[in-house]
Amino acid sequence: MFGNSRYTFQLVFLFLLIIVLVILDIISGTVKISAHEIFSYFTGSGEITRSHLVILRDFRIPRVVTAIFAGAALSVSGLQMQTIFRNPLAGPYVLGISSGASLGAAVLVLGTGAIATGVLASWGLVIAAWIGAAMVMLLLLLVTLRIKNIMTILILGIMFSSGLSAIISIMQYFGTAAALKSFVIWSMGSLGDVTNSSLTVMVFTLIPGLIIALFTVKGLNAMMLGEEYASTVGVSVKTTRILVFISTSILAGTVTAFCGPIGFVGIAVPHITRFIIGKSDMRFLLPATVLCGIALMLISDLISQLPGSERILPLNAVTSLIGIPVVIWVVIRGRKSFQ
Amino acid sequence: MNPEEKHIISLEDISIGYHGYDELITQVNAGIRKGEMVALIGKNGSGKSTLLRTIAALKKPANGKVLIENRVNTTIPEQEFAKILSFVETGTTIVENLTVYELVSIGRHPYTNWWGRIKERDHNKILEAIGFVGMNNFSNVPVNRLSDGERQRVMIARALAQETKLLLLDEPTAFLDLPNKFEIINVLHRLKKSGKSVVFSTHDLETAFLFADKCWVIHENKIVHGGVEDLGIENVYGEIFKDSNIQFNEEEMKFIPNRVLKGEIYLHGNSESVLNWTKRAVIRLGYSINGNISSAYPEIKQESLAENNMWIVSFQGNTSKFTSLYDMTRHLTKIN
Repeated sequence: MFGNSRYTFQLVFLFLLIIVLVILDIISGTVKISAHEIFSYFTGSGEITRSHLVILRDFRIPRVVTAIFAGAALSVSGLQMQTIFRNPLAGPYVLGISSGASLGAAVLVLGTGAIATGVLASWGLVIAAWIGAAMVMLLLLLVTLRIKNIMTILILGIMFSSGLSAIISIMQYFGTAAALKSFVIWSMGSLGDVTNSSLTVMVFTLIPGLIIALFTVKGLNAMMLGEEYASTVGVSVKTTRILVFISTSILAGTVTAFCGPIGFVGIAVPHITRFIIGKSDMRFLLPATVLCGIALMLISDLISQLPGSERILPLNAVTSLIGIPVVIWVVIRGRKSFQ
Repeated sequence: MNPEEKHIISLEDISIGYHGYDELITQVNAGIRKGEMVALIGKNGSGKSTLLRTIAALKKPANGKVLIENRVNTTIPEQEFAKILSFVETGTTIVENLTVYELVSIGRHPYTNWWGRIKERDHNKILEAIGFVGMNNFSNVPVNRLSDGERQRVMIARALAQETKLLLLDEPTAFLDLPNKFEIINVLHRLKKSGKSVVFSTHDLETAFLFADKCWVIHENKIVHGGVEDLGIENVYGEIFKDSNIQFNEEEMKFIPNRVLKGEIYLHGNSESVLNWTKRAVIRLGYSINGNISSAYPEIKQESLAENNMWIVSFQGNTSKFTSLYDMTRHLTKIN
C-alpha cells in the first residue's frame, strides 16, 4: 500500500510482544516448569518430567491458545460492531451479544445439569450460544434500521443485556445445585476450562468467523462515510450487514460458550488499537486489532493467575478492570460526538 | 448542440415523495445530455435532495422511472452503477484518523478487489482526484483536521476517483463561508471543462448562473427546465418566490427582500464609484432613484474632492452636509 513503514513497525512490535507474553503465560502457574523443560517440550528433545508434560499439554498450552483466539475473536467482533453501528461504545458485551450467548448456554447447562465435556457436548454449547448471540444481534440490526441515534441503540443494548440477565437469574433460581455451581463458575469467565477436544471445536469455529470478518473490511470502510455513500461506491450494505452479523455472532458466541462472558475486551481493544496506530482504515485497523486483542487477553490471563500466588482471579473481573477505564476515556474524550 | 442527441439521464413521468405524505414532485419529464452541467433549483423542502437521491438509485420513485443511458437506474447492478454515477451528499461525515488519501481511495471501491487493494492505476487516479480539487498538499492529513470547505472538496475528490460519466452534487456550497464557497465554485468550473455530466442542487442562483447550461427549477411539484437564461426571460426565477418576502431583481441577477417603497430620490455627483455605493445605501433604505430633479423628493449631491467625500441633502428648503454615508442615511430616516 502506501507510506506505512510506521505501521509495519507497530505490527512487528505487537507480534514480538505477543511472543514474550505467550512464553510468560506458559511459564506462569502454580507448578514451576523451567524454560529449559518448555524448550524440550516443543523441540521434542531433552528431558521433561511426565507430570510437567501433562501440565503443559493439557492445561497451559490449551489455555494460551484459548487466550489467543478469544482475544482476537472478541476484539474483531467489537471492531465490526463499532463500525457497523457507527457507535464507539458498541461491543459484544455492552450491547448484549454476550448475554444472548449466555442465555443460550444457560438453557443448555441449567437444563441438562452440568457443563459436559467432549466434542459433542462442546458443539451443543457452541450452537446454543450462537443462537443466543445471533438473536440479540438480529434484534439490534432490526432496531438500527429504524433508529439511528447512538445513545438510543446503546441504551436498548443495555436493556436487552439486563433483560437477558434477569431471565438467566430466574433460570438459576430453579436450577439444581450442581448445575448452578458449574454455571456460576462458567459465568465468571475462564480460559482454563477449555480442554483439548473442545479447543478443537473452538478453533475450527473461530477461524471461519475471522475469515468472514476479512471480507467485511472493504464494505465497512465505505460504511464509515455512511450507508448511502457505501452503496454509491458499489458496496452492498445488505451483504456487509449480513456478513458482520454472521461473523460477530460466531466470534462472540463461540468465545462466550467456552470461556464465559468476558467483558470489555471487544469494546476496549479497538480503541486501544486506534490510539496506537492512529488509523481508521479497516485494512490497517483489523490486523492490528487482532494483535492488540491477543496481547490484551494474554496480559489479562497473566494478571488473573496472580503470579507468585496460588489463587486465580475471575478473568471477567480482570478484563473489566482493564477495559472500563478505556471506555471512560473514550466517553470523556469523545463526548462531543454523542451530542 | 444536436437536439436529437441522446439524454444520459432522463426522468420519465417521475413522481417522488415519502410514503404517507403528499408527493414532492409529480409526473415530471426532464433530461440531461452528455457533458452538460445542470443546476437544480428550488426552495428548501421542495424535493431537491430527494430527486438527486432518486437519480442516484438510493430511493425508488413513487412513480415513473429514471433512465441512465437508457437503463432503469435501479436495475443496474450496484458495482456497475458505481462506475457510471457518483454522488456527493450535502455536509460531510467526520471520521477520525482517516487521511485525505484514505478517504478518496474509498472512491476506487468499484475497481478494487475484495480487500480494497490499491494498485498503481488506482493510486494515480486517487492523486489525480486530490489534485483536481487542489488538495495535493493534504494527502496525508486526517480529514477531521480540515475545514468544512476543504472536507467538501475531499468528498468531491472521492466521487471523482470513481471515474464516472455522471456526478451528482447535493448543495455543494451549503454551509460554507465565502472563500470556501468560491473554492468549490472553482472546482465546479474545472468540472465543467472536464466534460463530465454534472447535476448540482443549490438554492444560490448566482452559483447556478455562473456555470450551468441548464436549470431544473422545482416549483409547485413540477420541474420547469430549460437554458438558464431562457428561464430568466420567461421570468421563472421571479415566479418561484412570488409569494414570499423576496423578489428576483433582474438587473442584479439575485433575490432581494421585498420592501415597501419609501419614496424617490434624485442623486447626482462627480465620482462614479462613490455614487454607486450611495445608490446602494439609499436603495437599502427603501428609496428608488429618479433621474429628474423635483421638489417633491430629496436631492442628494455627492462631491468628492481629493480624499474627502461629502454628501449634501436638500429637501423642502433644508440643506444638510455629511461626511459619511452612515450619517447621511441616519439623517434620511429622520426626515422622511
